Amino acid sequence: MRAAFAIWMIAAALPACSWSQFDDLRRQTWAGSTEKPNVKSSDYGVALQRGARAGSGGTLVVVGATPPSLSALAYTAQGSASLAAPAIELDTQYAIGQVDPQPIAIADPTSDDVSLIASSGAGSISVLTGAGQISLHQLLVQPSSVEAATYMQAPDRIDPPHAGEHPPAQPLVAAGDDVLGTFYTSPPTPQPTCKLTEAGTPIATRALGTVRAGAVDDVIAWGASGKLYRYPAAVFNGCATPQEPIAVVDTGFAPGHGSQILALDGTRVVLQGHHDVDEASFLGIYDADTLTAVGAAVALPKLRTAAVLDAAGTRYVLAGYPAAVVGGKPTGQVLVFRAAAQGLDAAPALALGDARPDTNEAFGRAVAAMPFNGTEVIAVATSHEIFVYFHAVLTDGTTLYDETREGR
Amino acid sequence: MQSRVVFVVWMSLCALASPGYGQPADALKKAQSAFDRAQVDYLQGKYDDAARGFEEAYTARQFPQFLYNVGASFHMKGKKASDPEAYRHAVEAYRKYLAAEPQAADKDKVDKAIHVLEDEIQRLKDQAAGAPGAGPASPGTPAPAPPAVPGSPPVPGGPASPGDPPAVAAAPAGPSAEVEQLGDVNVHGLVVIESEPSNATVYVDDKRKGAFATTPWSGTLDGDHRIIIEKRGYTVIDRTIAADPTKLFVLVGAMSQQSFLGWVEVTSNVPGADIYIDDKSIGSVGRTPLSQNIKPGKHTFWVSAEGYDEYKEEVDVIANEVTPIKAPLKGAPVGKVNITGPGIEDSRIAIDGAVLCERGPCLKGIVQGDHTITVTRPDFKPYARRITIQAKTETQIRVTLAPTPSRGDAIVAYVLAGGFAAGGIVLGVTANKYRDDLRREIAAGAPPPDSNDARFNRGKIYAIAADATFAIAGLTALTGVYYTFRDKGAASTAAIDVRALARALRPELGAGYAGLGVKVSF
Repeated sequence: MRAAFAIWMIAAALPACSWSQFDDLRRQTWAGSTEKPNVKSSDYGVALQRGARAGSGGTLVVVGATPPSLSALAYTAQGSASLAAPAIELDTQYAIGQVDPQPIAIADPTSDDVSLIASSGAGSISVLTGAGQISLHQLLVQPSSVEAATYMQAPDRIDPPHAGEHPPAQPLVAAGDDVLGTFYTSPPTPQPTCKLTEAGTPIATRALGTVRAGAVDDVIAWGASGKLYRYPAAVFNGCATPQEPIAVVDTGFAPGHGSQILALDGTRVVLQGHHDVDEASFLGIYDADTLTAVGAAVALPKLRTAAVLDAAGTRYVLAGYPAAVVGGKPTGQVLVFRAAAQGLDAAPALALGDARPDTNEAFGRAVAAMPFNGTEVIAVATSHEIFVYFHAVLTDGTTLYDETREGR
Repeated sequence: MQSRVVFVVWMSLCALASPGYGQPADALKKAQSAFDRAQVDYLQGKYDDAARGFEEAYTARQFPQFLYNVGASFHMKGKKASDPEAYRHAVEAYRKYLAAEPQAADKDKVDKAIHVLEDEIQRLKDQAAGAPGAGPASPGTPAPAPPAVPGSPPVPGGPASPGDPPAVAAAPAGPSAEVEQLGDVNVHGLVVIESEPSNATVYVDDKRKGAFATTPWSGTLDGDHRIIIEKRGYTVIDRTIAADPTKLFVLVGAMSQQSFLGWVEVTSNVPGADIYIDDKSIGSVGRTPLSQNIKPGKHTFWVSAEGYDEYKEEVDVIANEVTPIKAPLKGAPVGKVNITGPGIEDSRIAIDGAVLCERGPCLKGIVQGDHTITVTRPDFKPYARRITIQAKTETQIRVTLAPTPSRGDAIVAYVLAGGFAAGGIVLGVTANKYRDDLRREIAAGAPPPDSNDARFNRGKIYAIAADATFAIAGLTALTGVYYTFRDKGAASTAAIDVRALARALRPELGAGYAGLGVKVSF
């Protein structure tokens, strides 16, 4: 009996002799976690955006705060991450003393470019654009608070001597009651602006999006009143008088700062809205052509950010709830909703969180769909680290996407 | 005058008698009677009478010791009176003694005495010739005539004749220093053993010592002895004697014939083997070779010697017949080991792995050759030694066993090893729990642990710590094993001494000597 007990104890302890199995397990886990790299920002990962769209591995653009920084994490094909290049110190290099709690970082749908739009002082908005190499485009405007931004295919320029030039997709920025087009080359002086109004009243833009209208993109704006507007593409080049909308619909939810209009497919957009003063939120799909809601909106509280994931043609909306209480702790989570033809599923297809969370780690404060080895994978920011899910299985057991890392 | 005449007649009768051991028994009685009287005279300082008595004894039986005693009597007379004539007679008797006993044990001593006395004779003659008061002896006071030495021509100084030279008138002052150095002379005693009939076997003290002599025998014995005289077909004579080296002791055994006895002759290829008859519990009756009377009938004989297989034979002894028993013993010569030492009474002694003695001291015979002796005692270090046992030797091993040292250090090491092992098990189980949790959560994926999950590092650390603890436990356990079996403290030792075994006392016969001897070699 005694010998059997001793043998059992030794047998139970013997596997512990192989500590390398923990390295194997680390390699097997779906979620790769990257602690804040050598970046001065104490508040790392306040915004995420995808980097390169193709190629081996992947790139994730990360915006930090306090002090503000812009950096890129380069993921190898095997999933290990490191800083792609030294982080850009926005305060010292671009006079961006601080960034909003939810900085606006948008991706060019036509290229690998990513643009960070931030106020760089009184009367100045900086648009930092690029993929690896950053170009600064400064918008001089009063007031300089950045309300929203979107990439859009603008109409031909109208300012001499560039009138008639066909520009590439460039950011349209909402500042105050106006919207301003970002001209990559030879911006006109003064900066052309256009005030978006409804019946003469500024709509107080909280989110911008686009919808294709021929060769250009019309602008979809979500006003602070909760109404969704469609404006002509010409607003990019400025307007002498306030621009009235082509169409308007009331979403019934008044979005706060940091709300988003995300392109879901050719005609549909995802509205992510949340209040500045309470935890109410809105997540729904609208047909941008008709400005009609597609399905019911999800109104789970504490939504702060969203991104669209293309999983083998099926679109999913990644919704970040950084203040959500999970397991009794306000650690945050990300809910993944399938965007069906009839709208968002009422129940999330997948809930992601930190398996061993810290309190107030704000899991889901920023989300992104990062192209990785040819597949878009989920990237989530917390207050101090970045999670990338290289493999995902939905709650119902179906695979969202298979293991994307090479060598696994 | 009368005594001198009687002496001459007696001497003539003696001369006519034929000498030798086959003389009648009354000759021996006569010799003993004369010897006894002469010894009394000798002790009373009547040296002339003593000399005559010893000569008479010699006439009766020609034992050389009697001639020596004649010389001793004249020697003491000459010394007492500084009489050169007495010295001359002493020298003459001594010479005859050495002629009769050329291998006498005291030959050197007697030769020296002869030389000293001859010098003394010459000194006394020279002194007498140069002395002023010296003159012819008075005719009315002739010097007393000394007795004649047996076998010698008529003594010149015998009865005075008219033509004799004058005697020395004045005696010198005393003997020379050389004579004094010789000291007073003691007469020789003699033991004579005879039997009727002769040619009987004589055993001294114990038949197991073997035959001593055959009758008749004469020689020197000192002290008390048991004399056994045995002859086939005759009764056994068993007597105890008290031999005096200064006296004549005569033992004559008249053996009556026993026609109803049988005779056994026991021999063996191993001399000195013990012989048992009918009942081993009473001990051995003798040693090979042995011949003795025995009652007719069936008897069982055992013949044994250390190192040899015992031989057993049942024989039917017939009266008046010789029954030979030849015992071919099989085996090998042996030596003895004698293992002693402090605390040996609590020790077990083994040889070549087999118990030799359950308790010491241990004295055993062992077949010659290489053997491993092991001495063990509870709580003491064992002693083991490979030794070579030689035949007819005794190997004395005095063993001093060293106490077994405490194994407390080993116990502490084992306890520590157990503690480390238990700690390792706890750490290992904890690491396994981390591993299992991670595996389960990775498989479930809701949510999956991330690569920076602290449990990866914690589990790894626990696993490494478990391994390290197991390693320490193993090393500590090995240390315990080392402590258990290391040879700590002084080793058990032994002093070994090998000596030749004293052989049994055996009879030795020599010229003028017979006794028991022991031959020892190293």
